[in-house]
Amino acid sequence: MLGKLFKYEWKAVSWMNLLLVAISAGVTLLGVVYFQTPLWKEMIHGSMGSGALSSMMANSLGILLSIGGALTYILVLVGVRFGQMIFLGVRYYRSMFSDEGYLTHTLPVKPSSLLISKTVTAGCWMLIVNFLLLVFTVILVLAAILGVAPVSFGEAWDIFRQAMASILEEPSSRATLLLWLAIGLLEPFLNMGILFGSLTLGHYSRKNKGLMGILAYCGVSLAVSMLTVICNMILLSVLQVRGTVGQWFLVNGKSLSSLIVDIAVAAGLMIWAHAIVKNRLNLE
Amino acid sequence: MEWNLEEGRPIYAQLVELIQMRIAAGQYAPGEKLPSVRELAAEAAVNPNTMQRAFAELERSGLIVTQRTNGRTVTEDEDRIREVRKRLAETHVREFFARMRSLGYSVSDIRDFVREYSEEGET
Amino acid sequence: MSDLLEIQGLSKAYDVRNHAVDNISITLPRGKIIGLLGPNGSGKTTLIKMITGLLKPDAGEIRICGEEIGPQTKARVAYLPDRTYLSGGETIEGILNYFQDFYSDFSKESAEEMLKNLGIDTDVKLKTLSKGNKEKVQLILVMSRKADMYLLDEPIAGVDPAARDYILRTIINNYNPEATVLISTHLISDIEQVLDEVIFMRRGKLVLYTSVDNIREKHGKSVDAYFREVFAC
Repeated sequence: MLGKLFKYEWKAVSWMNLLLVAISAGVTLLGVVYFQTPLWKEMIHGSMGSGALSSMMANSLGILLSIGGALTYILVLVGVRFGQMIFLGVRYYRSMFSDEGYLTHTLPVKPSSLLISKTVTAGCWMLIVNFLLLVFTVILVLAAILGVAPVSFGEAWDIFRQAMASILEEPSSRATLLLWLAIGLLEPFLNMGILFGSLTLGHYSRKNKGLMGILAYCGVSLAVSMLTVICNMILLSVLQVRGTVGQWFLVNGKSLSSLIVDIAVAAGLMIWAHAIVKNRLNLE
Repeated sequence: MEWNLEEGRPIYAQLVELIQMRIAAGQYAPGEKLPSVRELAAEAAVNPNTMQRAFAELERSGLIVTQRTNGRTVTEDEDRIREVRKRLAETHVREFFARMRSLGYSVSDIRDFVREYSEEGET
Repeated sequence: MSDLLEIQGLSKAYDVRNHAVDNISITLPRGKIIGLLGPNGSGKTTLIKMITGLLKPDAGEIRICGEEIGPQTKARVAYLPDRTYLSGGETIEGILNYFQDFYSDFSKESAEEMLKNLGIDTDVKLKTLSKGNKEKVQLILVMSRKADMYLLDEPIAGVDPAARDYILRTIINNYNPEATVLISTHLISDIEQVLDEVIFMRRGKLVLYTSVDNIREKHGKSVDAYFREVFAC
């Protein structure tokens, strides 16, 4: 049954996620194209030389376009990220607590299967989109640099490879990389767990389940921020800044704490949500 | 013949009568196989258990026969069918008389009425 | 074989004064079509939602075929709610496949046949259908399952007489002596001749549980007329 739930959940959210990916890819492509135009090359080269009026005007246009473009790009990516979260949250709420819930909760499946299939599917898509957004941003930056720098793609790749090698050699930067990898892989699932768990808390309210769910999520997010700070303080005071290890924690403590707190809160909320769905379901 | 059911009486009893009428009228011929309980129940829009009960009654009175090979059939005993028809007719006549009397007609009035009506019918 | 449905001391209250369901105990046998009758607000829907597991009771027990409410009982219960619960953006074909995937007792062939008889094309999206057709589709989905218990919440309210006939005939045609159908409604006269037994509820309490024949024989009137008597304001 769990497999079937996964299948249908995946089908239900794919279209929107693919659309968001397409939008991001689209603006990235626009950006890449822009960076191949003379406008961009002029702007960069121009700022290093001639003072002719026409090139100054071309520069201003170029600067405006670049800044405007960069801002737009960032807005689009942020929009995609938020849009995805909102879409997944709404989908969860609708399928669990609106009229559609009458179908969901009369299926011959365990409440844990429902929660797992929805959270993991949403987490997977968030991971995919996060990864793609990262790739797109790197492509865009590369395009910007390659558009003007006297460097070939092969040379740029070599530079990148060397940088990665030196990072991996050093233990502290290797640890940082691992931490960021762990965060990148786990956070999408933890975020979805926290979102869905909070939305489920709204179920305690009779009249305003949706609104209460959103408020719960805000409350939980606040609590997570505060707990992260506290956790970081505890971490640092316990470990007592000593040598390179202590240095590492000073720099990366916040990220690590964030991960730890997220894991704890997500787990707690999921257990709570399971208890609500199993024992306190109250569909109107 | 429509399945007209009244309010104040048990449904199965009314179904028994209605099926008797169909048999008496020849709608189900002697020896003919009857539709299944479920089919008739759906036709009459009644509970199959209720139709089953009606069938059981009819079987008990001998109007319906269950055979191993043929299932449920109308009896081939034409005398029995004739008797049922007669009884149903008597009920109709009794009701007719009761209603005419309540309108104020005497028995001889009723007889004249009937004669006139039947003569008209022949022309 | 144990009784189909056993309810003991069931209660549900939304606030301190009002009990939506007040200490109900009842046992339902197999092979009957039973009407759950009562004025609006008497607790019929609340009771049904507790049997389907959409609502958890405050007190008491429900057992279906001897088991507590859970995935195993949900596999045996076919529920028709009083609202549209299917997502409009799906095609009917998609919904049929969904039901077939999750319910092992679902017969896609019978559903397709019933839909064909009504002239409903399975390639269309649910939201393009009229209200009446949407309800018929939901009914067909429920009736195409070989469940032990069918719970129909107000299946004929707000539906035209022809559709009402169709619904009653579908229920009769689907009758299975191993299963029980519980129909909750306030339109008694339309449904009376299909019922074996009736349950009267008022203000969350069980007022009466008896057979239709009993009422007609003992009181010489239809269940509808008797109901009006019992529940006269």
